[in-house]
Amino acid sequence: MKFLLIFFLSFSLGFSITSNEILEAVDYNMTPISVSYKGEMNIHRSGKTRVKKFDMYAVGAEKSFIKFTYPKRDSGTKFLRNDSNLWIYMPSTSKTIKISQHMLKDSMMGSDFSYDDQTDRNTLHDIYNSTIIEETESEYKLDLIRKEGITAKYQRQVIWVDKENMTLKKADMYATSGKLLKVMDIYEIKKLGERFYITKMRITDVLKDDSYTELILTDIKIDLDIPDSVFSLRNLERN
Amino acid sequence: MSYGTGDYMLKIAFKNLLRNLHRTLLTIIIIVVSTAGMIFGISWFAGEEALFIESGKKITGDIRITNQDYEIRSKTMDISSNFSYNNIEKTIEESEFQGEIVKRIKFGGLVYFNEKHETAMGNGIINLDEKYVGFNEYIYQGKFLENDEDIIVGETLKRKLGLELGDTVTILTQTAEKSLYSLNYKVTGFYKMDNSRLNRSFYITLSSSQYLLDMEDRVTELLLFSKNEKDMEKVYNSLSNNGSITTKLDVKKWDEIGMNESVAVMMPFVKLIFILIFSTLSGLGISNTMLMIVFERRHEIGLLKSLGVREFEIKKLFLLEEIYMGIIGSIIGIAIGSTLSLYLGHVGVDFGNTMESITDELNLKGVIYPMLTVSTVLLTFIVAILTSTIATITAISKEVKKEAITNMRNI
Repeated sequence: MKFLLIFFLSFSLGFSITSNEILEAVDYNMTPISVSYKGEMNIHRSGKTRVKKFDMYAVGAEKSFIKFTYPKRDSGTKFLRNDSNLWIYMPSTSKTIKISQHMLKDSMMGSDFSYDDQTDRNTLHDIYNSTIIEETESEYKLDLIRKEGITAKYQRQVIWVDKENMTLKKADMYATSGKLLKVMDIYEIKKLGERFYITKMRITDVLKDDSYTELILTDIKIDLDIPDSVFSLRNLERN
Repeated sequence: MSYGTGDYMLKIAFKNLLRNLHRTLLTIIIIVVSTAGMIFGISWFAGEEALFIESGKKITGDIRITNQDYEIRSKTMDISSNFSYNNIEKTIEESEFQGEIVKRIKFGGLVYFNEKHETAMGNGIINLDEKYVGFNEYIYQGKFLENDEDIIVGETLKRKLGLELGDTVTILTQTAEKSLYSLNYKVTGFYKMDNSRLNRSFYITLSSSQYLLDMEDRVTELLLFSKNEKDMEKVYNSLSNNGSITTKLDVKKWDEIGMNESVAVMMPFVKLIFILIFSTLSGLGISNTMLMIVFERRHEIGLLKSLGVREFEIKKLFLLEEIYMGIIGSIIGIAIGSTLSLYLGHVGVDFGNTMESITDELNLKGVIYPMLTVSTVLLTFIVAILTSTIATITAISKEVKKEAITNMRNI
């Protein structure tokens, strides 16, 4: 709240905003202290669409817990992220498996989101050095380059930020080689308390033909009290 | 003047062999070594060829149907190169195919047991593969797959994970839609194949692999094992001319697939080169000794000519001597080469891990069994006699054409 107040005050007084301040505002909206929601992924591949549903819980940047509820085949599959560690529990084998670091960039449950995309909650301003490359009446366009010594999903991102609510409108994600990997388009933002939260988005894997995933979030609760026990291996294996 | 009757010439030719026993023995030894080498070499390549065809067909069938990008994607165990087989099966049945259709899925996965895990190649197979892959020969403990919960594991994978019969392993893999999925399996058998790399893989039932990989009614390979060659050609032509199939899929005969193709083309050439090398070596050796014989017996040739013996008869005498040596040498060479080929054909020559990188690429086993056939024996005998005859004629012709006095003066 304090942050937004300073932001809007400085904006209205005509001070020019820095790229880092924009990122902090985006992070404020995107990364609440805690969040829970129901997610629906519409995975589109070569003309066919598969639907997958899940429940998500997250606290801070380090902890997240996802439980898939649909379809039947995936129902009960759970993911637990704690810092850089990721575990998957599969009810088909009643087994918890730790996913190795190199697999974090792999597709999550067949979607165009990687495990990292879906479970990593690190804030943008912690990971990237930013520059404003374009400013229009309604948006900022920022170039984000990964900071030295920081591990991040993407080497570079170009993001479009809505001036009105300081949320993402679009993001292009690039590999270290400079190749465009994914494009994220935001379709819907909802105001939840003091934050503007993304509720509908599409991520397109540009390396694949006709491959994108829509993510729709419902029943979103932010800054709620989620007990630590949710983010435990015991909870992962609990029916 | 006639040199004499055929019997008389035979006797003289035989006596001539004994005149310089060392040289005769040397010539015979050259023929023995060449003949034995040739017969063993041809048997070796015949064994390799048979092994190659057998091993190649176990992997590919007589005809293999896959997605068009399968050869590239299968190298990384990418199962997204899969296809639905229902319509194709109907088309095959309509082509009056007389044989068996085998469906397979090859995929990569992680095998978990207790705290250990190993990356391995998985195979979803049907019951017919017990015969076609030859599991009755390879399974050394336990039995072939009976249920969808069963798994048979290669010897190396068994050792690395410390598995025993009845253990439950977890297979974690990426589905066709790139989602992670895992299932538990009960170990019912262990196999050991000749290709040690295959011993790091595992086999489950096709239906189980389809469930695990979320590939209902889909496979990565559809193989046709035909009962006869003509039928195979007919079916191949019918399928490869069917536009509805070839627009999406690849229909290939076993010898058109990957390395099979180049090796199938290469094998006859290798065999021919082998025969040429050994016959040339044999010919050069015989020519050399025959030249020495002729050189030493120039005086005798001149004397015979001055006595009125015709050139033809002198040639005949030398040829008879050579034929004696040729027959003796060939028979001994064939006996040695055949014994060696038959023995190694029985016990096999194990190349073990030294052939691993090659055999894995070629789908060949690490053990080669030389294959001796009657045609190989006949071919070797004919080549040996022909080579020594040509070598003798070449050596004698020039000397016989000279004047008798020139021969006698040893000029």
